[in-house]
Amino acid sequence: TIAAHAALLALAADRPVKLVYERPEDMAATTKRHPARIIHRTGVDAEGRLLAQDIEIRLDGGAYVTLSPVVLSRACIHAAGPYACDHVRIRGEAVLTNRVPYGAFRGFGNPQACFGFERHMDAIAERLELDPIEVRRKNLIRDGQTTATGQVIEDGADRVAVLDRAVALGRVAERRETHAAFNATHADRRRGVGVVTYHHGAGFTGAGEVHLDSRVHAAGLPDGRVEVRAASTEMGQGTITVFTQLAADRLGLPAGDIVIATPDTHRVPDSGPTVASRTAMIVGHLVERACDDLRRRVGLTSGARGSIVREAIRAWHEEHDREAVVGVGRYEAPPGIEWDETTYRGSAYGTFCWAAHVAEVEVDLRTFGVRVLDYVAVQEVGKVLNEVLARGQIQGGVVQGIGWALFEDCIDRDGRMGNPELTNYIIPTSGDVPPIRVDFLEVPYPHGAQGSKGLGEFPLNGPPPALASAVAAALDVQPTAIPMTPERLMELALAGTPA
Amino acid sequence: MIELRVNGAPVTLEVDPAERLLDVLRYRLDLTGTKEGCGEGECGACTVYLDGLPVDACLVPAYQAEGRDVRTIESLDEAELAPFLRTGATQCGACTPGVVMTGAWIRDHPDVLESHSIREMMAGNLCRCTGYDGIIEGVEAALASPASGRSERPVHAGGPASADPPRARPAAYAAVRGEGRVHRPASLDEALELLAGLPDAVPIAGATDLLVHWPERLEAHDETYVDLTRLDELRGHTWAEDELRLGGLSTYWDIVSDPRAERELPLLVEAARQVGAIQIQARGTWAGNIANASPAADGVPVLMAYGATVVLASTDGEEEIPLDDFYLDYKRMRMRPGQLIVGLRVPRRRYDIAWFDKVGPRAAQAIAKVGVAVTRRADEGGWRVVANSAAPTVRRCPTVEALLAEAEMDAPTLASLERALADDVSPIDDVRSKAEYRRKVLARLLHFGLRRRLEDSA
Repeated sequence: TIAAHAALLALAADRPVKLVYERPEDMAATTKRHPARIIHRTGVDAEGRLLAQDIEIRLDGGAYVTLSPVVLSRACIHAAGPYACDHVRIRGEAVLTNRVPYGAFRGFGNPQACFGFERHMDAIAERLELDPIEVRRKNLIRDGQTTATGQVIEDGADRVAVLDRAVALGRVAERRETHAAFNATHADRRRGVGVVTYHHGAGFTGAGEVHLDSRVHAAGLPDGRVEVRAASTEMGQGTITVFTQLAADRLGLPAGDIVIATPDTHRVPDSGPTVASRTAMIVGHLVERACDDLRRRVGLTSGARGSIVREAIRAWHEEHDREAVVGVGRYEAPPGIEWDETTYRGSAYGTFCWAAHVAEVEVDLRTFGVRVLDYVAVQEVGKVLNEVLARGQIQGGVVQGIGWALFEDCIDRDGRMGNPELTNYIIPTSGDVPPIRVDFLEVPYPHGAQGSKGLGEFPLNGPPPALASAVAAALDVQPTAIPMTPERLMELALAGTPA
Repeated sequence: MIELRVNGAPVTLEVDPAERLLDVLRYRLDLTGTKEGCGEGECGACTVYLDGLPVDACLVPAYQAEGRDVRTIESLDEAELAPFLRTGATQCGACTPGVVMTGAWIRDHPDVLESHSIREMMAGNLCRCTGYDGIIEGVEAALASPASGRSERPVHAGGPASADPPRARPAAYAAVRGEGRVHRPASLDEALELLAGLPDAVPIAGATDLLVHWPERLEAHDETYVDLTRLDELRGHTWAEDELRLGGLSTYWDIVSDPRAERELPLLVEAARQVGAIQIQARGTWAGNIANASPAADGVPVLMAYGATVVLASTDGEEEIPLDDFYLDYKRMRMRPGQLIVGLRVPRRRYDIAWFDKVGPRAAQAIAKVGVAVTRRADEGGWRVVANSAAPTVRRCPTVEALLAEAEMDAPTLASLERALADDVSPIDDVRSKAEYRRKVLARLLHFGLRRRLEDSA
């Protein structure tokens, strides 16, 4: 990463180094999302119930190993979807190629897996002539059932309710009717609606969190304020706001009494990396524990809140000249979480988030351009810590997913990115997307801060299969690849028609 | 030495011909609120106001700021940022100064929303984090805030007066001092004299093409430029009895913001609104679009469909060439050394069919994959069909025009249009699209477009 390069240069030069990439350098040099080819073969009964799944995942690993093994791991663990099935075989491999290095990208393997399993659910429904929503409803994991790795899901979240909420907000039944009428009366436009549902494991895979052994410090300052010291980096996702909120709530102090330390490794303990949607859920939980420990160290009981805390910290400093009082929060695995790295059996994640998305599109039959008319994202996230920030993560992730589904193509040219500039690597503008309608369902997760689960990455997973499903409804073809550029859709839609 | 006003304060400084306004603001005046996001006029992170209009500072040569009024994000007070903070308009913050500048401009010019949506106006500011809802709501909140429409901004310029030492410029910029020269004539006569003596000089005006990726294109720094932006006689446009006359410096935004253009020559407005977004429309000129001679030009097809004439001038006098005949081959024009495009004459005629389709990779900030402009004269029924991104130049499609002349009331079939187009265009595969797609889509645009309009007029 750019930070490592700057650090190496700084060590060699023995002075501070600032590294600035021009945008084309940035686009050419940073790692990309792994291209994937995924094949599903599924046995189902006449009602569409899954009997057996056989799934193959192959990732283009690019020229260097980078993070391919762990991206592949997350892709495989999610490959069977949020569905219950007794007989599952998942095989995955990442293949070295002479292409650009691929690495960590929002979703970390699951977006690719999600496109596979959700496209395949539509294929099953089509083959059996069943409603694709009904097929999903039938197969969604119920509490007490297990995932492909044998992880028992028992979180109290109602996955069918998540799906039904999205279907209701997206007015799917009504739209199917109005689209039929619209399509019959418009020569050059077709509309369609698509529905998907999926899951995303929150935090590091398997024993990752145990290995990280993360810590957070909460220091009582001489003036009675509390400084939270954690390694999590604010990059716009709201770490400073959320940590402030969590510490203030925990201690009953106003936000102004909380200081968030800059994550400089001289001053903060190792809280693990700012990745994997783990900051609010896992590190935030350590903020709470560190606050609890601080309260104990200044002689208070666990119920003490507000000015009592502030006064106790001040009093402690008056008695301990030039000493520091620091509460420590240290990661402890939730009970019952066991993961076997060799057999891939057990609890791959502490918990999963659940989601259902509905997309409505219009395809222009002149150009095969896809316009997103409406988008609904229903997310079960444990607990929303900050409405504006959480909504922003979902809307931003959805629009990034829309870009990936429709426009964003990393063109390979002899092992380099062939379009490393914003003129030719197309991301959506404000004119390309409708308002993204977000709704949250909350079933608190006891081991996340205030019940929260990591939500940053997983909104990206939904749009590719949701838009593909909507395009399928509009054009009566089944897109199996993204991005669904107009060139590709034209080829698909005109295949078999006279030239 | 140039003098300009930055955030209300006079600033005098020497600029290198290779410096962009963005470099001057960030590295000379220490006004680092303005960000560089792409260096090619795509992302809008460097949005500042130049004489009151939002522009991308990465595409403005610093010398063009002479005598002009520049406003940066530093000129906004904190109260103006508040609406954007509450709605989630910012995450990583890289786009935010540009977003706020465009948003505040909309807030100060709410009339623009009678013809444009907020989403269209904000399309020149790319954001990778928010998904735009927070930004749109931020602009709405700004519009609803009490300062709406008449803000008095406190002014503070950074720069020479500031106590901090100026920031070091990145090494790349130190290396880009080219051998080139920039001439800044004050009158057209002077410009034509210069061009007569400098046959290889490049005229520069809006710079929206010439400054793309400027810091990396060192060879471009060695060229000689004749800057046209002081030639006030080439500014703006006038409506004569039988024609619209566009000056050589007339911009897209000049036309977008003239309600008469929408009534009389709507395709000009339609094409202009699809050139980049406001930051590009405020700078890009119609004449520059012609002279850049890109097959993907957005302005040229509609001018050609309206039968425009190019007015050239040199020290030998004026010459007029129909735009139809202006292009010889890829990037080759019927222009002699020393000639300058000083204006365009667009006839005011009545059309019963007129439309323009631009097919870009997205809704705004897009280079055309393929496009077509079509007109039919109301009085004598003559067709003009003009394709872009489908041949080495923007060009009329005579075979299709002949087909339409015969077709009378019925839209030709797709197959017959594809056959006719095979004679008229020769699209290629490139990084933006495929020949096959361009060919097929051009036929489909014509087929469906004609079906709809011929049925309407029947």
